[in-house]
Order: sequence, then C-alpha cells, then structure tokens
Amino acid sequence: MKQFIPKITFWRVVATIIVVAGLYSTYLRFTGGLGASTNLSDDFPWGLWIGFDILVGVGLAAGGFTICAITHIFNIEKYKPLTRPAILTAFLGYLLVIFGLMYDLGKPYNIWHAIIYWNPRSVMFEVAWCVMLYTTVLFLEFLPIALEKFRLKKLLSFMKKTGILIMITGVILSTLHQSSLGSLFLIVPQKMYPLWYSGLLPLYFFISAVGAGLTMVIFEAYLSARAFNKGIEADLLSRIGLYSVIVLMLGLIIRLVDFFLTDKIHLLFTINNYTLLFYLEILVGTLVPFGLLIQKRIRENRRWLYASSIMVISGFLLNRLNVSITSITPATGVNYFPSINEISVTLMLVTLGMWAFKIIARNFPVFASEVHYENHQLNFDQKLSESNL
Amino acid sequence: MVALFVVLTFLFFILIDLLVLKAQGKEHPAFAVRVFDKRFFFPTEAILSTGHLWLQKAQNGLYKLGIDEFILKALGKLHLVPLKTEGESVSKGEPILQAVFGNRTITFRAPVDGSIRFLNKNIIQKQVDDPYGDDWALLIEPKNDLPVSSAFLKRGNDAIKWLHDEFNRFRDFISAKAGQPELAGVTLQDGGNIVEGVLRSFDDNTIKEFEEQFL
Amino acid sequence: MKKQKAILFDVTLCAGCGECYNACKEANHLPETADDFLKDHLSANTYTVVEEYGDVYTRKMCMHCVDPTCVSVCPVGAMEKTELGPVIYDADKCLGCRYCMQACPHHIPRYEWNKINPKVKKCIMCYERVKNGMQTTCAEACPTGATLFGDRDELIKIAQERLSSDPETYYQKIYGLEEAGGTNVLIISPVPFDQLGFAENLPKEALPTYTAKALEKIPGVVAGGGAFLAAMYWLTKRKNQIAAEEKQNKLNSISGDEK
Repeated sequence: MKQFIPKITFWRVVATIIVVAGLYSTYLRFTGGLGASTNLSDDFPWGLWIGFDILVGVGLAAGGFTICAITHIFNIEKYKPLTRPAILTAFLGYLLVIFGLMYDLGKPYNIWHAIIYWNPRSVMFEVAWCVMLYTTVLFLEFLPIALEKFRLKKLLSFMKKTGILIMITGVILSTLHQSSLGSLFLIVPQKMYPLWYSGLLPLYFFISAVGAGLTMVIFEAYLSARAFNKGIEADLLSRIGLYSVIVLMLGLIIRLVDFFLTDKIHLLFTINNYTLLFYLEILVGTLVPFGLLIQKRIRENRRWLYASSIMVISGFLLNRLNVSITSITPATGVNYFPSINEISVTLMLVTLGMWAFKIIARNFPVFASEVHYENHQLNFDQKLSESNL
Repeated sequence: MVALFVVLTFLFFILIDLLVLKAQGKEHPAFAVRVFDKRFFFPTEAILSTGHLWLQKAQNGLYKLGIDEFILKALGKLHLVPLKTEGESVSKGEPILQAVFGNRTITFRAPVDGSIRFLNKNIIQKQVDDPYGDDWALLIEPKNDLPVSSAFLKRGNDAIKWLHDEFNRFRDFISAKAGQPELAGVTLQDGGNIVEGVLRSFDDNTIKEFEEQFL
Repeated sequence: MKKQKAILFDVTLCAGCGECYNACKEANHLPETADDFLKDHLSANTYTVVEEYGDVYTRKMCMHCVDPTCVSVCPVGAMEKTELGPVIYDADKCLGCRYCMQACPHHIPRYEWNKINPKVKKCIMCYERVKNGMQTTCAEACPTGATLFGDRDELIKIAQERLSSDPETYYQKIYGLEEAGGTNVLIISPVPFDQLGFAENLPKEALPTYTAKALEKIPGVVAGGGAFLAAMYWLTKRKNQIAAEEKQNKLNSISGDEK
C-alpha cells in the first residue's frame, strides 16, 4: 500500500498550495459575493475571469477542432497521433470554461436559463449555445477513447460510423463561437481603444484561435512529455508549428490592411502604453515566432520549437487580455487589476485542468496512437510516485 | 497591465519548471528523448555477432564483449548483468549476458566458444551510455581464432549494413505487433516514428518473441 | 403600436433641488446612500442622480434607448424594451453575466456586488406607474418642470420649439434624438453635452446593428461550412483511396513481373 502515498515533489506542493488558496477564494466568492472577492466594479464589470478563464480558455482549446479538421475531415492521416491529446485538452478546456463561468456569473445557479429563455439577438446567447453543444461534441469525440478502454466494441463501431458528422458539427460550432467571442466586443465601439476595435474582430478571434490552438497542441505535447516522461512527435509538431505561424501571420496582415483602410495607421506611431502593448502583442505573438519557425532548421530544433510555442501563447494571452481589459481601460477611467482571489481561482482552474489531464491520460489510451516511450499500465505505480504534478 | 501580468505569470511558471528540472539534474524529457532512427555507428576494429553482441580485440588474445547500439535504441535505458563469473567457460549459444530494463530482461547468447576472464565492474547497476566504449560487459578469451568474416560475425560496412537490415526487420516486427487488437490504434507508419525504447511498450510475450527472433 | 412614453429633461430649468432624487428613492424603496445628494453617484441603490457642473445641474439615469443595447446583449432576455418605452429587468431570468453593464453606451446598469443573489439595478422609468397611465415619480416631483413626462413625439416637438425659440440659451442639439439609435430620455442643455458628462462619441446607428451584422452571417457559415467540410471529407477520402489502390496495383504488377 505504500506506493499509494504520493511522493512529495516541488510541483505537488505548489499545486496543493494553489488549490488550497483557490478553495479559500471560492469560499469568499460564494459567501460574500463578487464584491467581496473580486476587484470588479460598476465601472469595470468584466475582469480576469472573463478575459483569461473564458476568452483565453476557449481560444487555446481551439487545437481540438483544428486537429480534428486536419485528420478527420481533410484526412491528412499522419497527424492522427496528435488528435486524442488535442481532443482531451479541448474537452477539459471547455469544462474549465464552464466551471470558471460559475465563479464569474452573478447567479451561477441560473446558468441553465440559456436553454429555456432565448434571445437570438444576443451574441452571448449564441456563445452559450455553441459552448454547450460543442462541449457535448467533445464528449462524444472523447467517448471512443473511453469505449476502447472498456472494450465496448459494438458502441465503438457505431461511434466510428457517425464520427464524421460529429466532427463536422464540432468544426462548425467552433468556428461560430470562436469568432463570436470577438463579436461580443463589437457592441462597444465607443468604449474600446481603437487599436483593438474593428468590425473584423470576429475574424481576428477566429484566425488567432486557430493559430494559437495549433500552437497549444505543440505546447501540450511538451507538457505531456514532461509529465509522462515520453517522447514528442517532433516531425509532426514542427509542421504544425509552421502552419500555426502562417495562419497567425495571415491574421496580422489582415489586421494591418484593416488599419490602413480605416485610417488607424497614425495610431501605430502614437507612442503610449497602448501602442507599446500592441507592438509587444504582435512581435511576441506573431512576428518573431514567424521569423523563427519559417526556417526549417529552427523549427526542427526541439528547443526553438518549444520557445516559439511559448512566444505564440504569450502573444495570444496579450491579445485576448488587451481586447478584454487593456482596450476598455481608458474609456472607463479606472485601473482594474485583479484581486488576489481572482488570481488564485484562475490558478486553481489551470492546476485542476492539468491534474485532470494527467489522471485521464494515465487511465485511458490517450496517447495510444503513438508507440510509447514507456508502458503506462506496467509502470503505473512507479510513475505515480515519480511524477511531479 | 493585467495583460503583462498574466504573461509574466505564465513565463514565471515555465522558468520555475526549468529551474526545478535543473535542480533535479534532469533534462526536459522532450529534449532528451530521441527518435530511433537508422543512423548506426559501429567501430571499425570491432566484430559484430548476429546476436547483437560485439567483440573487439584487447591485449593478450582477450576480446572485449558488449552490446550494440541497436539493442540500446530498442530497449531504452538498461543495465547489463553478466550470467557467468570470471574463469567460467562458455560455449557458443549459451546464455552469457542479460540486459535488464524496468522489471524485465532479455538474454544474450555467447557468439563464440571461450572462457570469461574479466567482468567490467564499472557497469554494475549502471545504465549503459556508451555501449562501444566504457560500458563494455566482459573480457572473453575465444577458444579458436575469430574468422575474418562469417555469416555470424560481421565487420565494418558489413556490420552497418546488417544493422540497417535489422532495423527494417525490427520496424516490421513492431508494426505487426502494434496491429494486434490489444494495441489497436498504435501506428508507426506516417509520422509515428519509433522512439528509442519502443520495446518497453509491449507485453512479455512480445519481448520473448523479440528475443527469439533477434538475439 | 402604442405611443412610446419618454422623459424630457431641460438643463436650463433644473434648480438642483433634488426632489427627483428623493422621489425616486422613495418610489423604488431605495436606502439612503449619501448625505449630500449632489455628491451621490449611480449605484445599485441610486437610480438617478443630480450632478452639478459649474452653475448648471443635470440628471443622470437610464436613457431607455429606442433599440437598447442591454436588451440585445442579454443572453436570456432578462432586459426588456416594453411597448410603452421603459426598459425593464427581470431578475428571475438573469444569469448575472453583466454583459448589459459592459455593453451599455451610457454606462448605466449597476450591480449588487456584495450580494450572493445579485441583481442588475437601474431606472425602469417607473414602469408600473407608466403602465397605469401615470407619469414617472421624478417628473411628478419636479417643481420647475425641468423633467417632463409624455409621448416621445410630443416631447421632441416641445424640445425643438424650445431650441428654435431661444437659440441664444440652448446648445442646438437634442441629446437622445439619435444617440445610438435614439433614446426615450431626451435632454436639452445650454452647454455642449460632453461638458455635462454625456457620451458624445456615440454612433447614430443603434449599437445592436453592429452585432446583428455578425450574427446574420451564422446561417451562411453553418450551411456553407457544412457543405464545404463534407465535400472536403469526401474528396480527400477518395484521394487517399485512389492512392492506396494505385500502390496496391503497383505492388501487384511488380510481383507479377517476378513470376
């Protein structure tokens, strides 16, 4: 029985502290209300929980639908080994988004009202439905993995036949709500700093989600390699890296052309904190990784690929938070900064997500499309004690 | 400000993880793991047996004996356990050496008749890093002079060529095994490169078959 | 359709007495929030305020937009534009997403931040009174006639008359005529409206048209995207099949040669 007591490791201690802090903040949130636990106010009603937990969470989970589209709709089968981890990441990502919403919504127990009270004019209504449906789709996409584990062959073959319908539905739902998260901000033209406001926000959100979602597949592969002491599919991932920066570059070009067409070019030469953040966002998120990964030698180098994926994700974080928080700041006249509770709940959500991924990946054939560096089942106990998080 | 804060937090965690790895003296596994590719090296002076053991002339008519790179790539991290003691004689085909990986083993058979003269004490409980160098297994004195070349003993380019053939055979072996129902979904073609240590993923029967077919 | 009710507030007539503020508090059963009403601001417990700008006073309250942003953004339709004009709120439907607060161009809705069961709070133009043919309590309480209640068309006419009959006094604009598609609260003033803290950068179109442009593309995306993806699936699958068959044929012919 000894091996069931987990070994104390650095990251386990950190994770435990984060979760304990998060639970305390959860207590404050649900006993004192949003006012007691967050720095949100009438002037600044949307903060870190919307900007990070929702916008970033949904955006980075886009790897699930892009990889599915590549392997199951465009039938480029060599990328199949990446499908399952991407689906699992997306599934957990969406569950966390819904979980995060429970904190942010003033009346979380009314969340199901979106099902019965309809307002089709509302972008939020559309997002709510897409997220609900897509989470179901992700569950169905993940189901075969579970069925395989329990060897339910009949159900499995049925799932395989209907698979393509599920996949197409998933891609369409994702296209809709990834872009609609951008549409959420279409309605505040007078509030947003013009560097980030554009009628094309839905398109930008979609393109950047595709690009960053693909990059997230790379980053997640490194995380899995770290957690499970396994190899990475370096050749596949370096191709994915290339596609991702090409998509992001395309997005940036459209954005700059739009600047030109809407006479916003002068803003790029107005030096203030907003312009600097904008430059940081496009440099870190698109230009530098593009310059790096476009070179074969660099993208096939594991370290550079990792570094580039970190850059792309950082740029994506900057973009979503710039849209949702930075750009709103000048119009509201308040300087919002998240409270310690908002931060600790967010950290807890990410930690729980990684923890859940680890447990599921260990018990279901998530990496089965790839020959393992080590055998999970056999070394289960050993790794339970060795692993870090 | 919030945007910068979030990005810096993200980078902070990644940095800490790198430092943690460094403090533990480990390398990030994504950087450490290598793909089992076709590039083999074999020392020019050595002779390779078709049981994946090599022999290289040392002093006084003794030969160093060790495992080849192929085994290391197929099994991943392993250490060696000699099955004979110093002074014992061994005849061709008799078990002479064991490779231990995880809780499993494979057994190598003697490529020639001879007697064991010396065991390499440095490899006891140590992972094999340098199979053709420091991590040789034992010194053997062959009964007869070794032939320049034979079907069982190969030198130089012949040895490399044979290793390539073995690699192809091994890939087919893995593909066939991966097609078994209990490992459904495992693909090696297209992108699914064989990673070093691939054999560890398979069950005991497969390991046994590997032993029969390759050693 | 019934005639829409509206409020006309004339800054030149306002004496800053605070009767509207007090009447509103009383009618909506709101607790006291400030010693000096002139220093109070909109909150979950204050639906209207009187603000002092130099020697003039103005009121702030929900503008009851003709095509309200809050109504369009609410995912569950908790905000409703009534036929009579007032924009009302149904707390039972509300999820608390606060999109209405984020989206409101006039920065009006306020939230009960410190409650476990929080509501969005704002002026509802005394909907119960208006429904029963009464005027709003603020209009009733106003001793100077600065706040007028009536049909929107008629109030616009009155405002226009005042502007044209006394161009010296009035800044020539009716705030609310076309701000973000127009509002059911109209304001006329002796000074430009940005000096009174009103948003002057609002587009003339109602803001919901901005998102409508995006939302109306959805059916196209679903139909076009579905057809495109299905076609791609079929094409690529067929391509893979042909490639596999050719490979097989090649193999067959090679082995045939050997025989």
